[in-house]
Amino acid sequence: MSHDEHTHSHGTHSHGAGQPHTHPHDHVHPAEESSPAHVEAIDLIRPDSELSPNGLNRRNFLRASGLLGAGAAAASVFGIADSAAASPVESGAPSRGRENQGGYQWLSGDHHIHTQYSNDAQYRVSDQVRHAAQNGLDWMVITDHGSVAHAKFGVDKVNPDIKVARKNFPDTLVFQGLEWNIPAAEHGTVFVAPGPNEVAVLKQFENSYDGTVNNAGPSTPKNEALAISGLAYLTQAVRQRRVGDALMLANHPSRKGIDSPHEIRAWRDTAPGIAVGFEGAPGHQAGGIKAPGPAGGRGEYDFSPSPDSFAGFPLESYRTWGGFDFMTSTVGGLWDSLLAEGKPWWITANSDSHKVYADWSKNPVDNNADAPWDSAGDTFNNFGRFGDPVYADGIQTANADFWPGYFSRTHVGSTGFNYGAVMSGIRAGRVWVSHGDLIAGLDMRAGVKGKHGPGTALGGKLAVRERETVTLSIKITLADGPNFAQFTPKLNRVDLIVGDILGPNTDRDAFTTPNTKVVKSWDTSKSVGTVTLTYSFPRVDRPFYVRIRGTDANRTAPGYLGAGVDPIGPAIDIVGDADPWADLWFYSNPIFVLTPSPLPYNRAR
Amino acid sequence: MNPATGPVLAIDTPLTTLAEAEHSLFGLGQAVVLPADALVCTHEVRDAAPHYAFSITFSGPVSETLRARLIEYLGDWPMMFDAGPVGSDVPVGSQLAVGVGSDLGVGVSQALDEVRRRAGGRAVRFPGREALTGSLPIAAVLADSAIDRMTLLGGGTIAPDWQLTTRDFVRPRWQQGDLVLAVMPAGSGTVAPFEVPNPTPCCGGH
Repeated sequence: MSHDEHTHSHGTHSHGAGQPHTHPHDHVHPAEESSPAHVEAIDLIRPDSELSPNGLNRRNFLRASGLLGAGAAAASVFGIADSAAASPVESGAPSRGRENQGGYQWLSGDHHIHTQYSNDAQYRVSDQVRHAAQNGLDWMVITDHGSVAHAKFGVDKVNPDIKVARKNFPDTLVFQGLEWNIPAAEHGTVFVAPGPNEVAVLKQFENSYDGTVNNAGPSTPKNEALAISGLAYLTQAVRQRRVGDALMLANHPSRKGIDSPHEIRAWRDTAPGIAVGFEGAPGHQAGGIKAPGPAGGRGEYDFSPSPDSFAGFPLESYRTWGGFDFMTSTVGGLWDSLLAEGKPWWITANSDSHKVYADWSKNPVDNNADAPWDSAGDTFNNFGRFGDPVYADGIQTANADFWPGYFSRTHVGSTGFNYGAVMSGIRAGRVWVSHGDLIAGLDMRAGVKGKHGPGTALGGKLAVRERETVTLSIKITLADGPNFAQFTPKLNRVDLIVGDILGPNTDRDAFTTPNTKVVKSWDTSKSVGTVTLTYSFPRVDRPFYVRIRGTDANRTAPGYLGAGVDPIGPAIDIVGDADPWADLWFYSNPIFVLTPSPLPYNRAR
Repeated sequence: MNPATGPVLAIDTPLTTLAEAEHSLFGLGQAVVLPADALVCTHEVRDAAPHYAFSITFSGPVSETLRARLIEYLGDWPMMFDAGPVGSDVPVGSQLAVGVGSDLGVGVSQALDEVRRRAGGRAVRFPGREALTGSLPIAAVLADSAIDRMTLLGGGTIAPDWQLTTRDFVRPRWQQGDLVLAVMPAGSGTVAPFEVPNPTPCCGGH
């Protein structure tokens, strides 16, 4: 494929959605969304059995016409793809005036936050919500650790605190979730739509499937199977309408090397639409600030291989790169190997806030779970939470976290300001993530050249015919004010990453993919206001996906898979000297472009 | 400095965490006087019950006294002496199993295989290790210890005049015949070992 592209920036104004362009360039005219039936029909990842009647008709027509590869739908996924998409919670709450770009309200949030109901944390729910709201978060998930005390007491007791916070902070959606000790693996956020059974479902899930509660930590086949059962339970809970919706996102996936590629694939394939992604960037982003800071690993990524870790992961995977997890930061790495299968898998960025860097408070009993924190003898272990934080008598510079919304954000393109819409937006992959508020807005669309319409948004699938030309339009609203370090961050470069969709991979432990690389870098250092970037894929002849990232370009290095794949990617973070504010990145989720041609893996096998 | 290539004592353990493994080997070092050139490694055994195995490689014959002390310290963990090419009191190639057999025994053969082929194993104790404290020129580290080379994670090359900030915790690994120390950038002209001495305590009781 040859490509043409151009960059231009506008002044300090920004285009409203649908505003006509007046530039003398060959401009993007985003295609209409292809008909749902056609998109289904040529989405070869989905077997015939999963198609709607219209989709199946369309596929059969294409097959009969010879327009669809013989391998179509040879690959099967099981489960309940998208069955949870329609959430009863979605209707009701009125939409509000959030930043509206591309027809969506972009709601920023954080799905990984701890409170005094975690054995290693300290804040009240109201502390976390208050700070999140002040920092401009629209939604957040309270995710205290699964533990015996949490399963017995905490999961119940945190609920009234959350309900009070919902009432006191109406501009912030507060979900109840928990941080699941995934049997045989890392931690993961599990959260549900608010409703009468939110506690009951979470509690039953934790008691039955938490790795700590069930003593199922080691990386054994039996424990891996328990994790799968847990996801099947969540799937059933949604199907049976016990909860309106549920999502699972794997947290800090590379930290200890124990989320093996086949486990991640198994979660995805067991619970499509429920297990939808992982943290592209972990929390604990202050962890690498040099002494007298925590002076550890950024993201608290300072581990090394163990008997429980996946033997194939290189040492490089145990550290963050530009603050991001190796699975995401490596172009052509594990995340790309999942996307190259043509299946959805999304990234997020969160605080993992336990104890905030340079805060002035501390846990009243220094997190001793058996130490009474009141005169009644209540302890974490016998009551399910710690007492409220106390003044620490000194600044706490060894803490490794930021408040929710202070540094990391997960931006979700939402169809309304309500719980269901946020969950649907995450499930749809209409998500981009940022550190240090590097940019203010992103609207990326793919469309067929010459066709009008809004184009396909992040996470979406654009269906095209053979030899049509696809145009990618990227509109970035630059930061127009200071972040929480009180400087206005500068976006100096944007990279476009393109990968072939190869179809389901029979190697379930694959963590690289061959045909994904950076195809274009734009210098945006001179840009102000809104940057519009376009890129053309003429006469496409095979399915592919596109994603972008951008950076202040302060710290760069060739990617792990070589300069030919990623010439100027993020650099590995230095343990003990990683200033997060001086190394900022944003990442988008992908858009898939589907053609009727057979998938290479199907062709080969 | 060359590491030992003689008899090997391979030991399986029920230990599942690195902290436990390090603690056990620290205790062994306190309780038993090993020859100065002995090489002590941990091995990750990734089977149905993931755990650690150890190996101790000697340069020469292992006395009955030393062997008895080791067996006494290591208790009833499955272990095996494998006589090496260097002279020993056990005939070349012969093996002597001691300890109590159990289903942890797979670690014995894995540790033996890895250390014999110099293909795996993480060295906790190796010749020259005692001097690896503070900050040292890389050339001196390579000259005065059993470490054969260093690899820099994240790309780039190391100049010989750079410094190694040891953090007093250096754990090279056998890799394709060489004892290799993986290092990371640690400031201008400075690298530090990949492995840190005190990883973040794990949260969530996990």
